[in-house]
Amino acid sequence: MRHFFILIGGPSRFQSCDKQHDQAWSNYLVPPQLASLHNWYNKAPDEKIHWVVYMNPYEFRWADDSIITEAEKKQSDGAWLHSIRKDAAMKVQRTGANSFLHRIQMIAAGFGITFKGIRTPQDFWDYLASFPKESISRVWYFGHASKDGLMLSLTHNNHCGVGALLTDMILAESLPPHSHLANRFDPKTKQASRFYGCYTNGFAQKWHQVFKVPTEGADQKIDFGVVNRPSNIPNVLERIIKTPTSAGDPGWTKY
Amino acid sequence: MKNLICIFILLAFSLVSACSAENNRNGNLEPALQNAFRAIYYSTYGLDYPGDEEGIAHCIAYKDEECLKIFNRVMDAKQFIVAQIQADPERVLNITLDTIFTYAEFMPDPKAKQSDPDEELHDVSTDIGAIMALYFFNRDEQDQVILNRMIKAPLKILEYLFYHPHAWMHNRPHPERWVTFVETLPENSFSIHDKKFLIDTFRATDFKKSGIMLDRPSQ
Repeated sequence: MRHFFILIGGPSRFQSCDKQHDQAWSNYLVPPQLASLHNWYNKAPDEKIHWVVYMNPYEFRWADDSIITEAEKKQSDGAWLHSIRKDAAMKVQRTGANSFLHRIQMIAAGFGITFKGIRTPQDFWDYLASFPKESISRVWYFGHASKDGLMLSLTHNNHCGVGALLTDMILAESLPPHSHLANRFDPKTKQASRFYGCYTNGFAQKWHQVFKVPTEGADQKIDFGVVNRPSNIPNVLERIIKTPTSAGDPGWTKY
Repeated sequence: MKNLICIFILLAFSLVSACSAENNRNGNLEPALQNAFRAIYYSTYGLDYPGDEEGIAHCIAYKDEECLKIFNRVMDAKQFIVAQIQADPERVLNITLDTIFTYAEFMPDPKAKQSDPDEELHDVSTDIGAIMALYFFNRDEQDQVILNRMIKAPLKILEYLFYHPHAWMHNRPHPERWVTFVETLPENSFSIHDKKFLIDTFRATDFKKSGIMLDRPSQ
C-alpha cells in the first residue's frame, strides 16, 4: 500500500474590497473532488488517497458565511455578495452538513478518501512522518501560493493587501530541514507530486531536490476560476495548468 | 517696547515650534518604522510579490497590477527604512530590536488553535517585518549589537528569528559569529537538521536575490 496525499489549503475570510480572491469558499476543494470523480489523477491500484485539509480557514469562513447579519451594499457589478455567501452556506446545509468542514468530510467519505484535518504546517510534516519508509507515492497541493511557498490560508491587511500569516505557510526554504523525510517517499515512483497554486515552480523544484521525486508546478499565475468557465478542455486539472491568465501562460514545469 | 514684546513673542513661538517639531519627529519615528516593517512583511508573505528579478520584469511586461502594487509598496517601505538608518543608525537599530522583542509577546503560538488571522496579522507582520529589517544592518558593530541582544533573548524570539525569512542571515559581516551561536541553541527546540540548515544558510554565498533583497529595476 502506498499513500497519495492531497494537501488542501483554505479560502480567506470574505472581504468585499478584494474581488480577486476567494469569492467562493470551495475553490480548492472542487478540483480534487472532480479529480476523484473522474479519476483524473490516474490513481494506481495500490494507492490510498488522503485529503489533508487545513481546517482553520474553513472554520472562520463558515462562521462568517453561515451567519451574516450586516446589511450589505450592492457591488459595482450589481451582485449582492451577502446573498451569494449565504446561498453557498445554505447549499452546504441542504446536503446535511453542518459546516464547510463537515461537507468536505462527507465528500471524502463518499470517495473512500481518508480525511485528515490539520491546524499547523507542522501537523502536515508530522502526518507524513507517521507513515512507513518508501510508502508515499506523491503529494499534491491545491491552494494559494507565492514564490516563497504554499499559503494554506490567506488574510488581508488594512489596505486590503493580500498575504498569509507566517504560521499559515509552508516555505520553500523550510523544505531542506525536512530532508530526513525523503526516505518516506517511494524512490521508484513515477507519479509526480504536483503543486496547484500560483508561482509554485520554485517550490516544486526544491521539493524535487530535497525528496528526490518527480514534481510539477506553475512558473506564473494559475486561475482556479477556470473550473467554472466554459472550456474545450474537459479535464479541469489540465484546464488549470493550460489556461493563460492576465499575467500570461502558467508555465507549468516538470522536474 | 511694543517691538520688544513682539520679538519676544516671536522668539518664544519659534522655540516652542522647534521643540514641538523635534518631539514630533522622535515620537513619530517608531510608529513610522513599524508601519514600514508591516509593509516589508509582504516581501515574503504577500500574494503576488515577485520572487526574483525575472519576476519583476514579468510583472512590468504584463502590467500585472496586483504584483506591481505590492512590489512598489514594499520598495517604498524599504527606501524609508534605509533612509532612516542612514540618518540615525543606532536609534533605528534600537527601535528595530525593541519592536522584535515587544511584539514577540503578542505573537501566536503555532501549536495552539488559531485565533482570527485578520486580527493576528498586525502583530505578526510588525514583528516579522522588524526581523526582516535586520537585513539592512550589516556593519560589524551593528551585527554585534544584534547578536548581544539575541544571546539573551527568550526562546520564543529565537524561534521566530531563525524559523522564518532568512535574507538577514545572508547579509552578516561575520557569519561564523552566528554559526557559533547556533551551535549553542537548545536541541529540544532546534534539531540537528534545523541547526545544519541554519549554519548552511549563514555560510551560503550562492543564494539568489529575493524578497527584501530585491530593488526597483534601474530605468
